[in-house]
Amino acid sequence: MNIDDLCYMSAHEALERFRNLSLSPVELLEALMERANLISNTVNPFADCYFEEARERAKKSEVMYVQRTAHIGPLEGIPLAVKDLCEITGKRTTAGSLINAQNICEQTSPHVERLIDAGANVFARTTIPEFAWLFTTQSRMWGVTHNPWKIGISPGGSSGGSAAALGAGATTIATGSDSTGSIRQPASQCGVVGYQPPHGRIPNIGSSSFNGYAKSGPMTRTVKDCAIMANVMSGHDYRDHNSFIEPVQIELNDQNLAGMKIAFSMDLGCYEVSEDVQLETNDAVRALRNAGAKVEEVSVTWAADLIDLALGNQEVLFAAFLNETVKKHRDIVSDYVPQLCQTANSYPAEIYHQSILTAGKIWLEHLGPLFQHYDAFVMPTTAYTDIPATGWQKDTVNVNGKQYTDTDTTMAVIWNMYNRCPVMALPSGRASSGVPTGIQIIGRPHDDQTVFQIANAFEKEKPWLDCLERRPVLTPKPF
Amino acid sequence: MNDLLYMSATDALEKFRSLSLSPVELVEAIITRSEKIHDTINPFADRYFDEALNNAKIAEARYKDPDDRLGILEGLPLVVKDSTPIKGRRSTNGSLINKDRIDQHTNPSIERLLASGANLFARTTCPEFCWLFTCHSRMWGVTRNPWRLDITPGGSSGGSAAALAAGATTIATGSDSAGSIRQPASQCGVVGYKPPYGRMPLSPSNSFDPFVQIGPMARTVADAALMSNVMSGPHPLDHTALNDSIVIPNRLPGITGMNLAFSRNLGHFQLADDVEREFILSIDALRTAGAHVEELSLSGLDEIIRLSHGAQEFVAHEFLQEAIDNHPDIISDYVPELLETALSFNSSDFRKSTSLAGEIWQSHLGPLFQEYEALLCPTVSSPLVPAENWQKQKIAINGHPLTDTEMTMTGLFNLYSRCPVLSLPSGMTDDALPCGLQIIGRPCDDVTVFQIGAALEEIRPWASSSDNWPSLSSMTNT
Repeated sequence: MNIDDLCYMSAHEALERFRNLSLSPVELLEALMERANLISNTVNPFADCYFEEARERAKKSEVMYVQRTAHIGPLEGIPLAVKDLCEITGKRTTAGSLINAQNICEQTSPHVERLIDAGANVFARTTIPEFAWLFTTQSRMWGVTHNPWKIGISPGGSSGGSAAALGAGATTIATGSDSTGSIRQPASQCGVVGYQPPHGRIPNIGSSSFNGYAKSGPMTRTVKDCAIMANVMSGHDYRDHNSFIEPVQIELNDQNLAGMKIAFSMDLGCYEVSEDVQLETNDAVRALRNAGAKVEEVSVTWAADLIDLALGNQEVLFAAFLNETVKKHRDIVSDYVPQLCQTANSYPAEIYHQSILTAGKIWLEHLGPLFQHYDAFVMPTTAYTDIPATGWQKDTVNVNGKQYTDTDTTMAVIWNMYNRCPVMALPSGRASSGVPTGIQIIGRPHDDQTVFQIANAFEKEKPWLDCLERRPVLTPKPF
Repeated sequence: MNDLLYMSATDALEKFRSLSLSPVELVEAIITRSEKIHDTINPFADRYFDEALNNAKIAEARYKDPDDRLGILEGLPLVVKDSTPIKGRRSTNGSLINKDRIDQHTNPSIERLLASGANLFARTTCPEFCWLFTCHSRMWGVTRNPWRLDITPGGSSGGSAAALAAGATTIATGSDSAGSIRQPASQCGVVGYKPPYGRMPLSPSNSFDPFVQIGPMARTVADAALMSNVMSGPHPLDHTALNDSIVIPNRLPGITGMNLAFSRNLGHFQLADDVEREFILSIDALRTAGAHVEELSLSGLDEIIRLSHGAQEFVAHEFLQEAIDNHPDIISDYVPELLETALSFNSSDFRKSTSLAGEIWQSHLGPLFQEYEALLCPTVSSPLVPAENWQKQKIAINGHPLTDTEMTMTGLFNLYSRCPVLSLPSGMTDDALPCGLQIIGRPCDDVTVFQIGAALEEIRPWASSSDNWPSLSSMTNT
């Protein structure tokens, strides 16, 4: 087996091979660590790395498989990269900030705990922008992370390191978190799979668990891997007041989408979508139709104000945090943080209340009826792909002759407002620059299964990363 | 006559079905009572008496026709709070600003009550914008407590609670964003249920605010369960509705062996001696019923209790400011005071309320509810709040001057919105006023709180006979 096939092997296949002893967890991990070293100066997806520790852990996994130990976990020996925002006891978590350079965690986030308990081998942490608040991934803490498909272009943010590592074949699975698009936009940028579960499906503890916008979720290269991770990560945790009681387990099958009705919007009536993205999105719609779904384009008239309210809802909360933090640590925060502050403070506090009023009204009048008629909704994840890796929040790119920020081109936040909807971001193709494009599949509230079913059928029609021709050509030279 | 007025919904429905009572007879008796107490208690906003009489006649005919499909609540007199929208009818939210507002939409939980045949005959008063723990406004005047006219029935669902205690309705609805179902239920000696967020579908203006729930108010635990079963369940037009359906069984098992915790004061509140006494007697009753009940000495909740109110005050800035700016001549005199309080909480407090909520659940309440199946505490410190009290007026409890907000022990479980909370009468104070307790369940575990409530009601009944309620002469004697 060539090393590239090992690096891009799905967790599902690796687990099968671990079990039939045609692959050792040590062998897989070594290949990934070699890949990680190869791209560390160019892509730079990793924060802290635990290679030695992971090697020891992989050897134990190997023994378990060889000795056919009883009760082997569903992810035993699978290399896992964890976002530098999720906590792990005894390890450092910085949230991309020098402020937290010495922050050793005293607890493990429940979703990570479940992955570790299932046997996943955390060998590295993945980079994020400072406070996870950019759609690019750069910080004074971790430097600039690049897109494995094109150095110089952003892998997206804030879960940019996780997406870049997956795209570069430097991890098998990864975690992300998403409060305005931070799983889905990086997944789109790097041509991988990102899943934003309904709020309450995957537990969070502590300070973020009462923010409905903020969710942790799996990032993978295949839909099947995403289902394996989601099944491990989801379910009630008594420490999270808002976690759902009802257990949901995804079951994938080979069913096509016959009888399925899907609504489609290219632009929600307000985003400026680049020609490349339009082309690939239309091709994705064709693929869904080939899989048997009835896809109907719907006209959306209600989104423009809602998007700003949804962003404002989070900016108001962020401002309250950021103003205090910046006051204390002005000298060590990244250069763009004062700009984040300015944006956050530009939203009046009343926008919070307006956002919840409007969210209810639009659901009642538009989205509720839409989801009564359609099983799911499909739209692009980003309107434009070629966001510079060093782009700041207010920097603009040219889309169809007009200037837009990366916030303007990220089509995600509305589904943080409607956070009971499960949303999966999937690759839809590649722009002419070579950078991937993506679609989102949005399900009815709490209907995770349908989203996975559509994604699974779509992947068969329009696969990605499954062969050399559909993988990035990696450049080991420093950029 | 009194037996009719204080008849439970479950009894009335059984008698409707056996044709030993007609829906017309019941609603007529209630309308007569309503007219008698109107000037003193004043629980009602808009009234639809003629329409209700007609509906009762239709219901009567349905019960007589064996082929007709009957709704679960067919012909049962119902009052709905004046803040909850019903399509084609007026809801003022207690404000002259809305005196001409006709709603275009019916709250989905109310829609279910109406669709199951409940006979809406009146709306119940609330303070302006539902923003007081008393019940008075320029729109509807002063609503008084049937047990004592100088005392408040509580707020904001004060009209609903007062109507139930006055024998002027069979069932009622309320809404609760800081205690507005539970505190009035406690004040009037009735049952109020604040369901978990998402259990009962909400109107679009509330559905994204976890603090605000709509819920049943009744005189018996079984009636509240009956209403809850009609009102609850997923709804395609409420994004935040929970996905699973829960049915409270008709026959609830006993509580033998159940592990319960109680706190007299949540480590924060002052408690009047007589309220404490009745609360402990109720706890003893649960022990008699076979539960293991353990007293907890809670601490560390001061800031989160403060912020649980602050989070709602923060979202009130805009509408209070708007009312003062645009309608200074018609708002109630106390509205500027409400704004002053609201503005004392800013977006930093709001953010802190969400982050601290998660931390306190993880460190204190999550483990507590892991160990115990429910937590019990009083609903109010003392019922001695005057009918015309303003938000900032102080009342002396145990020598401590307190506002009615500081006497209401409910707000924490609006922040912890997934906890079901049932408020039940715990007994009577030395002033012959009812006082209440709250049964707080694990997130989304509705059934257990009803189970405990039913056990308490069996041992310490408050509605077993019409003699348990205030006399008409005491309610009309000014």
